[in-house]
Amino acid sequence: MARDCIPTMSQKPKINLSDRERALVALLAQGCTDVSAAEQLGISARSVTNILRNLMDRLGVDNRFQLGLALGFLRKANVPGPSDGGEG
Amino acid sequence: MTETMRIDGVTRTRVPLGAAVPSLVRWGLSSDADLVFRTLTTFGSRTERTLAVELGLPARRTAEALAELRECGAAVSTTEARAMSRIWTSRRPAVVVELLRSRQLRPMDPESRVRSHRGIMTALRTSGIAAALPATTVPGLPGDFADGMRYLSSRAAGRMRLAEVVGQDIHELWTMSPDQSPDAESARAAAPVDAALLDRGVRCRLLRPPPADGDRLDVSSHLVNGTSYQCYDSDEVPLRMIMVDRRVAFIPADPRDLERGYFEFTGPAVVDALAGLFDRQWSAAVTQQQALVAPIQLSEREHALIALLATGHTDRTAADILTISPRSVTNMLRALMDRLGVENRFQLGLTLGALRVVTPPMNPES
Repeated sequence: MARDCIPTMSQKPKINLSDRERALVALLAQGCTDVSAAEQLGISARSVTNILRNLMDRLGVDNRFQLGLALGFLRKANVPGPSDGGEG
Repeated sequence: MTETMRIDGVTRTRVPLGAAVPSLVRWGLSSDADLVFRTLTTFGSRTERTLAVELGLPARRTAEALAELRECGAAVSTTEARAMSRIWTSRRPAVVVELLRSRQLRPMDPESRVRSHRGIMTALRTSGIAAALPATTVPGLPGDFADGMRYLSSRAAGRMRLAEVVGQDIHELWTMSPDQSPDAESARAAAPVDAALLDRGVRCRLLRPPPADGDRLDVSSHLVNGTSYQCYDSDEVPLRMIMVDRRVAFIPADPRDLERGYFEFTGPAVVDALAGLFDRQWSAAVTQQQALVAPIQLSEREHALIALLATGHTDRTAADILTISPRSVTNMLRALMDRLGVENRFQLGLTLGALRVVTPPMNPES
């Protein structure tokens, strides 16, 4: 009968994370603080702040909670998926 | 350590930092178990004690999380007498997901579909609502065979008649489909939605079985629900049926073979009975879905707070709007973080986002 298409849900917002962003997000998702994440990545705490600031700007959000919300929603952390996570 | 390394499937190398670890919550594990698994996978084998200390989890919750992981084969331990000294190692995430997936796999029995279809038809016939309905065969000739009952003798004839009915000025199109998709992705692709119908403002409802892999965190229906197209998963879709405006119903003449065509019912008594059936299945599916989509039940106040924070409010401005103190805001969030087993605002956001509790206001690069 009807054709196979879903009109409403294909426009999922896209954002690509760099390897460094991905690594940082993964550490924070584990519960690392900025300082301990910075240590593990061998970068300064200030760099951590900058990376996150940049990411928040790109997503159009203002704080850490919103950043987590957006990344969780887009399944950029903690969630696998050949369909969702593999583009970056 | 040496002991665990011999067990087949146990990780030997640590996953590189930054690699995505699949969420086990979507396969029905607790968030504590998920967190512990994530930690073991990312940072390597650890004792129960170390895990508890590092994660700041009470010993009992740590023990429960590990028991859960052991039970589903996601982690194994050495066998020291003292539980806190046992060394735990996680299996490779891909192996674990495969284990959980197969554990949850619930393929449907095609015969049960046929039985369920026949059961409904028999009930319609014997109750007198559709006494003229043939028992097990299809009518010999196409066309009207009783008042309000017509036999469309091939699949193509059924499609043509349906297209004709749907082409009229209709308001509601309800579909029940017992076809099960192997996974969530193909379920999405197979949803029979016609953009033209939505453009015309026709409200579409689709009931179908959940995908066989039982992926709970796939909330594709959640994304479309609320528009004029609504779709719910139901564990028991009793038969294939298409209903237009509670006025016309199409049902396959033979559940084993769609090529044998469709019955078209227009008699008020039959259509009422079938619409009632759809209604009951629909409300059951809605209830079921609500329970699955929100493994975390937020109170109204919590939900209001999260919605405000999601739009960028600070604790203080959110507190003002909710006419509570900033301290109450902190306490509510602390309680929520404890329930979800997370430590900070970022993790809280991540978890709530993945659970689709609220929609973040996003304006991302394209």
